[in-house]
Amino acid sequence: MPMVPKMVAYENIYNPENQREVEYFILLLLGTSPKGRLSVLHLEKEFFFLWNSSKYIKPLMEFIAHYKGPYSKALAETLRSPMYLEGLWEYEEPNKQDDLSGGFIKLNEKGIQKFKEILSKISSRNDKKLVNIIAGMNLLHDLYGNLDSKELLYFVYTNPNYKKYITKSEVYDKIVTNEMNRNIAKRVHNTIEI
Amino acid sequence: MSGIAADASFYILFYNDIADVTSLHIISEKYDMYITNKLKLELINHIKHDLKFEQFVVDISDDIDIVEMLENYCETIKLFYPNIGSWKNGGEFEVIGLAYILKQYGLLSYVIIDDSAPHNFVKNNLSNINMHLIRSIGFLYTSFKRDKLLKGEHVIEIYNNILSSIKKGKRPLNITEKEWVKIVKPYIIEIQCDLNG
Repeated sequence: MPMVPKMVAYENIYNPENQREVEYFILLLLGTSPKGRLSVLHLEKEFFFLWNSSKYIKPLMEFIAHYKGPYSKALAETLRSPMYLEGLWEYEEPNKQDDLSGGFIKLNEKGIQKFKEILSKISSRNDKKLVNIIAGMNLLHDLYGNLDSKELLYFVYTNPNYKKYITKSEVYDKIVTNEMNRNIAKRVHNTIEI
Repeated sequence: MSGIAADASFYILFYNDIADVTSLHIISEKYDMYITNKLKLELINHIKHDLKFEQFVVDISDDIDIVEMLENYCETIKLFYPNIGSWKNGGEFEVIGLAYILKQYGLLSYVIIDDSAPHNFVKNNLSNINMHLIRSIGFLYTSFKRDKLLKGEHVIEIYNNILSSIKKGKRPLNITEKEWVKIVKPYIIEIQCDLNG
């Protein structure tokens, strides 16, 4: 019976098998990040990008418009209290000036070991589907990993494909500013045109 | 064998610009050439006469749309650099996506991208694959010098054929005659030095 209250909490994830898979994808996303550590905002948005482009991950959960753009209640709750991979990652509070990142999630020693174990199993089984998903995660870390919270949200807010996810945003005006336009323009110039 | 993900310009160099399909076949005997279906379609006019193409090119299908991920990232880049839209048609996104998959399988040796903008984009943004990044000219030299798979004389012949093609009014790899002298000629001199001991 102790399972029942938890299952109610995860109403956005259709069944326990989906719940388990989401937890493993969180482990893989954290494990593939260069430092085994992501801000909650980065984890949430990178998971969203992954979900958005993966026919396999899409049925596992839903993302809705929320005050910082696309949001999944199931993902947020799973991050806080996983059912199957308990005790593999830890939460770090953000500093006082940081009102966007939502804090940080970091794999602990046990989590790093579990990640290595899973990665080795995926390789030895030559699991094509998961190898491809991990390749996608690596791309996402490269594209978005070096962005700060504001820049990351800028990429979400200025993408017309994500329009329906930003209707409830409370921080849009703080993110899409002339100063940010100039910063991103400079970044684009420095990384493509030079 | 070492794996290669190359953009369309690499194939077009051999199929069209210097019309030397034999050299491409020789390269494909030394390296595993990987190509996506979309790039195949782009090259269809060139490869339909090449009966060996299907034998030496392996396609990788994907369960995750990496190209879509890149395109979405570039929706924002497009606001400041509209030309990035052309990468979609040019197959550059496909090559980058393919490179990530090959990398994960431990099969990636070279990502060959010749156009400056996508080349710079990979170099400056994509740390998982940028150590494999090279241009066609550099790849041919590296194949001789480091991999010791292509013969020096053969590489020089390809380089000279590129110059002949430029002189005929073509733009192989988007190189001008001036650029050929600046970029390719030094490679030829180095290879000749190596060949002469």
